[in-house]
Formats: sequence, structure tokens, C-alpha cells
Amino acid sequence: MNKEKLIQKWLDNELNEAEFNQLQQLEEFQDYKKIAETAKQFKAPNFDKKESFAAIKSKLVQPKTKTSWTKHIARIAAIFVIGFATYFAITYNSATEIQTMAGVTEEITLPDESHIELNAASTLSYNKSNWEDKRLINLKGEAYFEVAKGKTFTVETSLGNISVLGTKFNIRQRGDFLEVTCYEGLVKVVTPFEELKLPVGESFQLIGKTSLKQSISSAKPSWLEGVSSFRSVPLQQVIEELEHQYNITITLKKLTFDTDELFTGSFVHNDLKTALKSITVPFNLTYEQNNTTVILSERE
Amino acid sequence: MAKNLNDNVCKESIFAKIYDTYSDHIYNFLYFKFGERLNPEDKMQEAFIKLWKNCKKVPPEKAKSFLFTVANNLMLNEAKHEKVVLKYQKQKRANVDNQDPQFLLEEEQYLKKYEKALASLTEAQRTAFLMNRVEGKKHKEIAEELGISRKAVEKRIYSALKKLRKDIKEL
Repeated sequence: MNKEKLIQKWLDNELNEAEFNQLQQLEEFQDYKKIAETAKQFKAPNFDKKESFAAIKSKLVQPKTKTSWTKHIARIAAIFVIGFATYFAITYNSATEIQTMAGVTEEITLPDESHIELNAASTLSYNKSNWEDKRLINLKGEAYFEVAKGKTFTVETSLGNISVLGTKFNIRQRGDFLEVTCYEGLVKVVTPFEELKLPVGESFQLIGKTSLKQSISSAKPSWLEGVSSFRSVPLQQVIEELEHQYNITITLKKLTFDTDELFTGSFVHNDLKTALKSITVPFNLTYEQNNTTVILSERE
Repeated sequence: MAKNLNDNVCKESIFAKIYDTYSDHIYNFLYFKFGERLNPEDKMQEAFIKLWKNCKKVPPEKAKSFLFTVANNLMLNEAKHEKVVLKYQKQKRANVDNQDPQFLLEEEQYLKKYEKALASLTEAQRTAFLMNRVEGKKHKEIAEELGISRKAVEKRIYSALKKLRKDIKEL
């Protein structure tokens, strides 16, 4: 047997005694023996077999046991899903905008069954497509909200953001005037100047940079019943609201006082004459009506 | 192993048994071939995860060669042209008291030379040689695991031995 064959047999542990004796005669055998023995010191470092298995198990996903007919159904379902997705993408991707004309209010029901009453001359917009993820409304004007419970519901106005989880509240934003009234739950108001939580029965007003908190007693904003109510609201705001409700233009003539004067009171939405009286009498004013134009002036 | 048609690698008990039997083999193979730098334990785990994902296609008796093939391929992309240095582990001897410092020093030097010589073997030589010497595997077994002929295994191991002797002498 040649040397190579002999050594290979030895390494494979297949030698008989005679062959082993023959091997030991080789001059290089002692070297080989040491090398073969020393190799054992190059064994791999230990690893924790149990821990490693736990790591594997944590990454295993149960294999799917689908039969071929379920695959077909899955394929058909996929086609429908793509179809619907395309349909919804086209239908819902753009923002929904609702605008009311002067003197008209509108009821809106949102995808989550939240309910909104939009007062006259107001604009509201939101995005239907991602409504579930982000309940965000943009408001210009006045609206009353009854929000379904769920994720944070935020109303953005030019003067501040109002966010709630699910509650009833009213927002009036006209010009530089913002009023938030909470009728149920808790409302968070964030303006550029402050951040506050508004509990039930409280109202927050921001006029310019001045804010004011008041308590209210009604359960719903009165405008829902056809009456606009004001508590310490500048006359200018009241006049503008009257314009919005009756679709008229009001001009002021020869006033010796400022329209910043505060007004507390209300006017009805269904009778302009009564409404005008409600405002003019406390300020000692008279009015002249000419079609859609009303001129207010001080009494002689 | 008696053949059972219900035996399937997707069964957790079968999978666990395969892991128990072959995880060391795969781990050692990866270590001998690529060293420690590429974390043989992670790659071993990856191979088993891949086996699980393909559990329906791989019958239990083919699991071993599947694992070796996957383990080999997993590292291919990362390990190209990197020199692999395997570290020796100090052996604990029973009669510690009787070792004279001269002997210990010579032993240490020998191991360092060995380490260098081992690193200069080809990947194929080193892997087959250590599977045989460290794990005590028969040539036939190694041939099956590496998917090469027994002749090739014998050649690799023998050439590794010769080269180690030569290199250790010269160093």
C-alpha cells in the first residue's frame, strides 16, 4: 500500500494493526500525528443550542396550508381588491369641501358617524381617504360638532387648533375672532398664544390676542334653533354674523363709539326686523333697510 | 429511520428533532469554512429558518443536505476573498502541575504556527480537514455533506495535512 493511501486510511480510522505498524515506520508520521491531534484545539467556540433554537422559533412563520382552490379564490379576491382600491383612490383621494351660503346651514355626517352642523357662510373641508387614520377638519366660520368616539379629532382654524377624542362642541371663527364652546367631554384648544383644556359648560374666546373664558348654561349652541347668541362679543362680530344669517350688507354711519364695544344678547334668524331691533336698541341705534342693504346710525 | 408519510418537516416536533441532530454540524461547518467573523451561529439559524419556509418541499431525509447547501450559499456572497483565521483553544490538562515552562512556551509557539498554517490552507482543504479531525467524521459522511466525491474529500484532507506539516516546519 502506498504512503498516501495509508495515511488516508489512517485519517479515516480504517487501518488494521499491520497497516498501523507500517504507518509508524514513516519518518513523517510523528509530525502528522501531532498535527492531527492538535487540530482538535481548533474546534468552534461553543454556542447555546437551546437559546439559538428559541431565536429560530421566534422568527418562524407558520407555513401556509393553502390548497389550490383557495389560491384561485385568493386570486379572484385580489382582482376585486385592486378594483375597489382603484375606485376608492379615484373617489376619495381629493379633499371633500362643504360650503354654506349666507342664511343657510347644513348638516354633515362624517365617515365615522360624527355629526356636524355647519352654520351660514362657513366652509369646512376634510380628507375622506385617510379619515380613519387622521380625523382632521379644516374650518372657516362656525360649526357645531358631535364627534364619535375614536382617535383624536382635530379642527384646524386660522386662529388655532381644537382637538378632542369624542365630544360635543361648537367653534365660531370669524375674522380675528375665535370662540370654542364645550357641551360635552373635554376639548383641547391650541392657539398661537396658549394651550388649554376646556371642560363641559365652558367657553373660550379669542379676540386678537385677548382671550376670555366664560361658563355657559345651554346644552347646545342656540344657532341650531335659529337664534344667534352672544356673550361679551364685540359689536363688529355681531354685525357680521347678522350679515351671514340674512345675506345682507350692513353699513355703519356716523358712530361715536367703537365697534369693539361688547354685546351680550341674541338675534333670531327668521325675522330680520326683530333681529335688527335686538341689536340696535341696546346700542341706541336706528336702522334703514333698502333691499339687501341696511344702514345703521345713531339715534338723533 | 422508518418512513412515515405523515412525517413532514413542517411538523414542529420533526423540525425540532432535525435541529437537535444537525445544528452542531451546520454550525461547525460554517465556522471551519468562514471563521467567526461572519457569525456562524446567525447563519446557522438562517439556514434552519429557510428549511422551515421550505418544509413542504424538503422531506426529512433530505433536510441535512438541504441545510448544508443553504448554509454554504448563505455565506458565499459575504465571505469572498477574506482570509479566515481560526483561533486555537487552550487545552485543559489533567496534570497541570507537571508542566515545565519551557514545554509550555514551545507548545504556545507551535499553536501559533499552526494557526497561521491553517489560515493559509484553501477553504476547501481546511473545511474537510477540520470536519474530519475535530468532528471525527468519516470521509464518506463529509463527502455527502459537501456534495462531493469521497475521493475528493480524501484528497483535500491529505493535501491539508501535507501542507500544514510543510508550513509549520518553515515558519
